[in-house]
Amino acid sequence: MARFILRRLLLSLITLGIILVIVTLIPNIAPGDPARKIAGGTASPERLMNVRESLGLDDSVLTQLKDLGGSVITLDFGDSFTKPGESAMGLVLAALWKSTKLVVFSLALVVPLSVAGGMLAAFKKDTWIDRTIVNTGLALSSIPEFVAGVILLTVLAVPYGFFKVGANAPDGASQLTVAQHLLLPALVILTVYFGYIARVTRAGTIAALDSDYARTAFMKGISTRDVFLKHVFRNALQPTVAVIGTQLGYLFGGMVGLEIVFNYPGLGKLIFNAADSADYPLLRTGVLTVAVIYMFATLAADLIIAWMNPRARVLTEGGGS
Amino acid sequence: MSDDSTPEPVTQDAASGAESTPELPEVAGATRKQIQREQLSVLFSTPGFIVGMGILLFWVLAALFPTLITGTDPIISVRGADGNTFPREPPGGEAWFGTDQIGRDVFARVIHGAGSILTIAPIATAIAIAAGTLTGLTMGYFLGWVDEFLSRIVESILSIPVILMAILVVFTFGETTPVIIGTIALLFTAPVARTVRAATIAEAQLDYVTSAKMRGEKSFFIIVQEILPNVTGVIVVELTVRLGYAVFTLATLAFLGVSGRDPQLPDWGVDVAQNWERIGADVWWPTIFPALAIASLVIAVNLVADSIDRALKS
Repeated sequence: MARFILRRLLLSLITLGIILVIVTLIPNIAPGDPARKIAGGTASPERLMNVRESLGLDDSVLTQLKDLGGSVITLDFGDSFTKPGESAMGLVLAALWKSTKLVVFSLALVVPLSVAGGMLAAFKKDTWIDRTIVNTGLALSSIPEFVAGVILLTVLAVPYGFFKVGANAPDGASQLTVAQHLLLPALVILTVYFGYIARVTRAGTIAALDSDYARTAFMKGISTRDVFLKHVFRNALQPTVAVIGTQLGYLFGGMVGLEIVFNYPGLGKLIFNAADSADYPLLRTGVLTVAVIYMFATLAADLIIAWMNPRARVLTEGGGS
Repeated sequence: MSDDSTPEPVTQDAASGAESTPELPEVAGATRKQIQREQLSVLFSTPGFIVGMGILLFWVLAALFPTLITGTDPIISVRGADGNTFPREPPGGEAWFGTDQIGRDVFARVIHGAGSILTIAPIATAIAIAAGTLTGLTMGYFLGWVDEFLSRIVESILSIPVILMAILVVFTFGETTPVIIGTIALLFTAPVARTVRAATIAEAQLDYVTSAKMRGEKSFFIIVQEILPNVTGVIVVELTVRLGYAVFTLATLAFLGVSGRDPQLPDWGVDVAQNWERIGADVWWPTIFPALAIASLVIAVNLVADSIDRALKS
């Protein structure tokens, strides 16, 4: 087990290293002078010098890489260009906190509904209930978040005041108000993930119900309820956990369109704005944060699966990636 | 194996290799054809496939011949006999889908908007499939350090949400159509490579590959003539799934304003971006119709992808 975790961590570090190289190279390969883009066309030569220096653009790429590596260790990525005096890390953490709220609230809604839907489909396999759940989920899951967002705004937020147009509750609002504001984006996330999670859960449940151990348990005369709780549930949910693990990074950093439609200051919007304004310290910090979240989420998912089923541990170890 | 599903340069190079043992691939091809025929008949009896194909064909028609469907110009504002424009006209009457902020016909913009996304998405997907298939076959067949090295790169691309990576690359290299095609192709190469790699590993353990190796066939021949035909199904599914994601990503980039498109020209994502803030003022039609167009296109592609996946597994 320890070897498995160690190997996974080592591989994650290599992946993180490659992303580090990518975000280091970006200002260097961007056409034109990034310093001029940041400082503006009328900037004084001194200001340009300062920007170049803080970006490290005059150094060799290797030196820049070393500096950025140091930043990762000290977690200090310097100040944001667009918000002078504010550290990039601080801004990212504030957005991360907002994203966490949205993700936790959404998953609390999405996971139980999708798992229930998937299990219902599995038990009613090949009936109209099964087909409705699978096909609706499939159809909805492919719609871009911003599309689902504007549609929900039109059909829910405009006619019914209960649904809020903006997802960010005013400061000092009660938890209930915060949840009320987060409801519409969470519904969008439900449309994106219901089909995906329900489908994997359905497949996992069918496989578990068809398995030898479940059949043996049924033949021993154990009630359906007990077979389900003791044997099926644990095994059926392994693929579900894996899917949620791989999607967490996307939930934290990929909901750019959603965060823009609902004007929510999360990580996706922050990174988008940072890229738009060539705010490289902020951009680097944000992208690396999303990568780290993805790594820990997939690692956590693997560990949970290994805990649920010791056989998976062996399989993952042999798998390579 | 049908030739059109193989990346072109591979087929040409493989031709010389195939001459040495002509009988074997032919025999395998015959049974494969039977299976393919049966899978096709399953496919055409799937409701999801028929509905998806219907919607898809409609949008392809709109992309190729928009003027067959609407005679109204998508760029110039509609004018009455007195020369007045009709901005924010609700749906109904002359303009089926209403008019937008400056009086342009929303229906005409939706129909003409199919063109851009249905050109860029298939091109980007085709490149990604070709590159990803080659990479995945190489990784899965040779394994070892080549696989280990490429796996790390694939893994790092996959660890950042596609839309963020796309934003990064597009902002770095400029908001032009070639950059956007290249970006999506590059980013989608990673998941395609991973899928093809897994399928290749499974195939490479089978007896027919072992016997080809014992016959002393060259690796290149084994990969292209023996393994590739047997992973074609996986590649076809991957092709349709990625096409759906390409539409998804392109529409999102257009919505975010990084597609490099002239906002005058009709484009679904751009049109949603230009109008969605007026939903609150009850002017919903210039947003909802292009939004529904995007939704219908991705749903159609997904239905087709799913039906093909099921038919291949049947």
